[in-house]
Amino acid sequence: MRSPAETLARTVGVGALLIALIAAVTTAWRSGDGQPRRPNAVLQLTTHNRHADSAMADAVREAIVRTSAHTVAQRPTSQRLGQEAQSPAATVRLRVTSVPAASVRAVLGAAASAGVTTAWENATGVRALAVSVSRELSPTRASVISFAPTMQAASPAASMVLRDAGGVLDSMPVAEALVSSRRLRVARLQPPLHADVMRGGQLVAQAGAQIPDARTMRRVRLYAAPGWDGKFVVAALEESGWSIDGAYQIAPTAIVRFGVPSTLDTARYAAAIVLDSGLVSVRTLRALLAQGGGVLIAGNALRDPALRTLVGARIDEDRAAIAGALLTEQPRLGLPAVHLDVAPQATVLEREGRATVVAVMRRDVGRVLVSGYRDSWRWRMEGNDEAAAAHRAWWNALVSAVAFESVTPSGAGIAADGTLHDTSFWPGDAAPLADLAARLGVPESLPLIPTSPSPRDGRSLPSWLLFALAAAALVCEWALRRLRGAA
Amino acid sequence: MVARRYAVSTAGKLSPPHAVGVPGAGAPFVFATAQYDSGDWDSAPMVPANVIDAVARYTSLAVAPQGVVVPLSSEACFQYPLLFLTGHLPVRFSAREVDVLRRYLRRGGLLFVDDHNHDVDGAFHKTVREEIARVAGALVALPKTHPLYRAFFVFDNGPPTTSHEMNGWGDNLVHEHLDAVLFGTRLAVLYSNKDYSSEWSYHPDNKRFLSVDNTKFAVNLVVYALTR
Amino acid sequence: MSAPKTPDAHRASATRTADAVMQDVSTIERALRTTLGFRVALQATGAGVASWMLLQQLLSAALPPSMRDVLSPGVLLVVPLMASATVAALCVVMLWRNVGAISPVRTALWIEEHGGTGFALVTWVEQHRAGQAVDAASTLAEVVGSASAGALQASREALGRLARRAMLGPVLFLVGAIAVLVAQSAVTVISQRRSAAGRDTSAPSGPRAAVPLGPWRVRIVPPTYTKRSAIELPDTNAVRALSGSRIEIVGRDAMPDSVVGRALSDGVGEGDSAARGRMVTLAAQGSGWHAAVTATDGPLEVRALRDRFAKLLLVEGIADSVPQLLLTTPARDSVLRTVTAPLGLEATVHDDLGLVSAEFEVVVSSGEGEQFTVRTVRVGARTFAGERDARLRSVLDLAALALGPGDVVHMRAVARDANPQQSRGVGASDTRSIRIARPSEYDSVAVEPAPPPDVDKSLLSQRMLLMLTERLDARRARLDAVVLRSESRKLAIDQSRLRQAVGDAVFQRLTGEQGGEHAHSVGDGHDHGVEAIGGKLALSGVNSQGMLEEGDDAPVVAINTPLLEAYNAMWDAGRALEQADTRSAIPFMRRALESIERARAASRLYLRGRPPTVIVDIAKVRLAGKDTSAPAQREARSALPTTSLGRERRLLAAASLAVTDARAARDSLAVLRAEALADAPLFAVALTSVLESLTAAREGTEVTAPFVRARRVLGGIQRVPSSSWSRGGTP
Repeated sequence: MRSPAETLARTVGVGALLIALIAAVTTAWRSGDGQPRRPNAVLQLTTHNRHADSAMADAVREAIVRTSAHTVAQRPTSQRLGQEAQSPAATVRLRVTSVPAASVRAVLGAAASAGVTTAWENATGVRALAVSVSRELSPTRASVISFAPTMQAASPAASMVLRDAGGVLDSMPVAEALVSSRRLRVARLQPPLHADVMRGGQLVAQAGAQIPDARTMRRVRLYAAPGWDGKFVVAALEESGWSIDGAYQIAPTAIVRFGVPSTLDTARYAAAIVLDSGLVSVRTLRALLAQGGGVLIAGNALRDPALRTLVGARIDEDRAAIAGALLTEQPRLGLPAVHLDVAPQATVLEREGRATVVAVMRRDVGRVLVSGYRDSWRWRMEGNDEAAAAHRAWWNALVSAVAFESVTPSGAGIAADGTLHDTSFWPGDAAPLADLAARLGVPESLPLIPTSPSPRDGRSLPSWLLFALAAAALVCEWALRRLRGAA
Repeated sequence: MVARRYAVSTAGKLSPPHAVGVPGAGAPFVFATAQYDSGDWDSAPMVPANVIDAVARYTSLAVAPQGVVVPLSSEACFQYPLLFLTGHLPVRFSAREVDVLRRYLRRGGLLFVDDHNHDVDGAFHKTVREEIARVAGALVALPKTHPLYRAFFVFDNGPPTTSHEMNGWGDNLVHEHLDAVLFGTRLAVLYSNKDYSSEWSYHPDNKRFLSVDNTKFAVNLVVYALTR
Repeated sequence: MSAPKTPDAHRASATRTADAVMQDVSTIERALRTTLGFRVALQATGAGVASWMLLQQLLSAALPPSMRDVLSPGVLLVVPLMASATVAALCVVMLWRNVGAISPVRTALWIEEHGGTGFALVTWVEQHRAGQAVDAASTLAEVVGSASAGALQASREALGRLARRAMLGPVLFLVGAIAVLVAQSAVTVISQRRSAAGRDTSAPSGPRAAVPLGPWRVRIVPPTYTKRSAIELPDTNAVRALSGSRIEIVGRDAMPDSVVGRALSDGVGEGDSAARGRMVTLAAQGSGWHAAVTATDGPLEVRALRDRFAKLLLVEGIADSVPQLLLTTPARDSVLRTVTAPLGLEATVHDDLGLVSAEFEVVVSSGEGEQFTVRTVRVGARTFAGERDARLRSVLDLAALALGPGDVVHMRAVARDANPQQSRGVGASDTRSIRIARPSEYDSVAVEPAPPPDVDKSLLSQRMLLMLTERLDARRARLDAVVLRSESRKLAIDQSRLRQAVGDAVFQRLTGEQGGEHAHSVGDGHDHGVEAIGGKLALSGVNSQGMLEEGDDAPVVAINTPLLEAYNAMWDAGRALEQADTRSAIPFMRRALESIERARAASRLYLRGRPPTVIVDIAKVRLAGKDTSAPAQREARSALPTTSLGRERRLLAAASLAVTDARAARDSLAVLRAEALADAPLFAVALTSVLESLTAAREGTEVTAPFVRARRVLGGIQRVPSSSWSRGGTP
């Protein structure tokens, strides 16, 4: 017969042990189940060591893969099978606490291109504005200023001002610059160039950019039959300052040459324009593309089956000229055209409704542009009074979109034997945050969510309580031994 | 469709990279005669056919078998970047014609004006020069070294003389050069006193009776307009 | 060995010795004071001179030139002098303490340092100074008496060395300061002399300081023919003047070295300045000078140059317009069958300055083929006394012109203003023409190569048919139904014939067939560009462009759409007439008439009938020519001049110049504005506001905004949407 004291001690001890067991099981269950209920963990990007770039990039890649795989695994099977193609595979949340290196940016950019939605926060402390200047690839060599604020949650009052030595070039609210990225074309830029972010008359951030030297443009090779289209395309480009080489066959023995038509390579030519079929072999154009040159195929040349294999585009349907449209705001509707069915990797430059008319794509290291418009000379002759200038500017832009430009890394990074030992010429290195913004989108303010459970989480039992329970059970056990037989 | 039928393609005769433009793809060249309100614009009805015949005879250019007449007061002129204008009678362009012609020339058109009177004191000569000056600027003598004279056939001595000049008709002069209005280096208006309108106004079938084809200069004009 | 002295003798001797020693010490003390006093004086002088030089330099560097001009030279001299005197006085006060500190005891101590009397002398002097009784017999007296002589002697020698040492530093400093002072003044004097000599060589006429050109007066004398009086303007930099005006510039100060004129008409402002140079006459006039230039149609720049200064006058030339005329009557061209009534002529005339004469010019051309005669008749000539607006009226007696069939009368109004320049031509109105019809145009049998146009015949017949139908419709209520049906059916037959004639015109144009109204149906194997659907004609799908292709039986000719409409309207009218429904036939007939009129307006009637149509058989003649060609290389077109880029560069240069030299910037901008007036008026307006703000600007006024606006107007800055393609999209 147990004494009442022994019974009491046994009851307390067993109770404490039971409570401890329940607490442990609950904690274990919650630790397994709680994580998916919270938003995705935020990856921290912190590195200061340039030599650890690739290691960091590997780590980021693994983290992205893990997050993506985990997110996909959490979905119901039906959703995985049915919606995977439409919905992004995963959302990666990124807090960037140091300026990311080129390889890290490349990994993130690749992930974003692969459909991984990435939200990022600029936690570098750099409240900056990036501005860069490039030269238009045309004989005018106008400067094109691109700017990207890398700050988030800018107050509506903040405005961005671009100025050069000649005064203010443009200004706009930062909010506008954040949502719609714009560029500024300046015919003549007077260094130095500054971009300031002002809030209430105070300078918040400032950026400057070097204006690159204007290099001499190479020539353009034209393959066209003698006719009004060839004549006016050459006229438009020559009036813009391009030098054109080509030859018209007027009769079997009579050829009218212009310029000095010679072997098609990037040492001489920035681009080749093909307006008619049967005038140039695909092999020649491929060789130019392999060297980084540009090929522009327009009008009747698109019907050439040999060229079609090169451009990755095929004619979808013919569209007759719309009478009177040459005098409207959309003059190119007044030209006869073909609608194109282009490869998915092509960038569409002009559409008519849902149909593609002008598209451009990379082929090898070169660029190919296809234009479905035919008889563009009619625009110049039959359009309104500004048509001649517009026709000129349009052809200039087409050639600029594909023209070859030699990219020379800065001399500091080239060793005597010609090898590159510095990666400072990677694109975007001049403004890495802006480059990241260009790849991932505008930074946002992410909620601060820790990756480990908080010790003050009310739903799980604190460890000291478990210790107290275990201690109580031990004391009860000891008391039981002392009290045994006391009755 | 029209173009394909008329074209004689010589594609493939030359291999790249020295391939050159061959006809056969674009719209054919259409010879256009300007119709103006005053005077007799249609005084040389056979000229278009003869020019078309010459172009087809010597070149492989795609060319339409028949010319068109286009009113100078109509913006339809802009469809034909080479226009032929002739007549005997005084020419006075209407305000609309001046406007259209001015825009036509500014955009890149070439107007070839021939005095059917071959007479420097003639009504056509005096009035049309006034009108050209009003529309485009003063006419200047075109040097014999101008690329027009070497655009296809070579005319070392400048514009070829016509039988009407040699026969002493009109002003009884052999005109040494043509006149022109140049926009920069571009030929905008070409003016002739040599009466090519009479010289070329015969049925092209009769060309076989000529020892020397007198329409060769017309080929130069067309080739120049199409390529320069 | 000397005999021992008595104590009195000792005392007397000691006293004397002591006095002598004290006297010697006093002498040395005075010498020391003098030496150190000199040293202090030298140091103070040196400090004063140095501080004066320093102040001079500071003043010249720190004071702005305007302040320097305001302050008188006396002030500039006195202020540094007083300051340097103060510094010197302070020096004296501070350094004099050393001199004042010299006392007999210190002197004795100094002597001790050189004599080494074991401080006996110091003790002696101290006691003596303290007034203590000197025990002449004491050992001290003895020691002093015996040793002081040598010490004093050594001290005197040391005094000389001290004086040399103490003076050396201050003297060197003073000499150096004075040398710098002298050198500085010498440099200033030499440079002044040199610049004076330079001025003398550039202006040998006499010594003259380089001063900018003073104010001038500008007198604008309009051309004589305008009969306007001259205008005189005070000092100005820009004038507007009628082309041909004489611009006289009168200055009252010394004559400029040269006055250069330059036309700014081509909008570039650089380059072949010699070709655009303008002759400016320059002459002395009394104590001043006089220059004159003639204004042109475009802007002109006149620069007066003297020394390194230039003054600018911009002359904005305004061309004298030729008279503007509007011929109101006759309102349009016409064709007359016979010459009956006189023809009224009326025109309005306007000139910007004043009319001199106006008239109607009538040119009559007769003949055909290669035989043409042209007569010119002038009617309604009128002279004016400088009116700017007038109305010209006259009557042309066509009968007096003895016009024959086929003659064409061209009429236009011409007017002259007083401008004597012949090359600018006369003002003229549009030309109207009246043609006298040839009888053959109205004959049933044409003798011309081609028959009269069918369109004309259709027009008359259709109008007649319409009139008959309207008349029948008006009588409709009074007529018997049978009669009405019979009349109506007759009209229907006529209408059908006419429709077939028009159909011939349509098909003749298409195929060259006569009487070509035969069965046309969809898919009948030959395409004429039209197809017959239920009796009517419609453009077939393949020929919606209005062009037919060769190869079938149809040459390439445009289809006459109005005639096609007329044909279809006639078909409807004919059907209604067959059913005796005249009321519903009339609208169709009207539409047919309207279409025929449109067709007539669209294709101008040929005076001598239609020319034969020649269609070249391209395939036959293709490359049949045997002559060989030798085409020359095509020369490239030159790039369009980038005027705006050059202008932007000059605008930016002027903007940076505005900070340092506002006058020069103003001149540059004024020239730029004058050049831009002709081809970029908006930019010229923007430059005007820049010039105004520069003129109104005072120290510190912001002129950036108008500069930025002007730059924007030039159009070199534009927002472009960003494109997914790195090179940007198409415009």
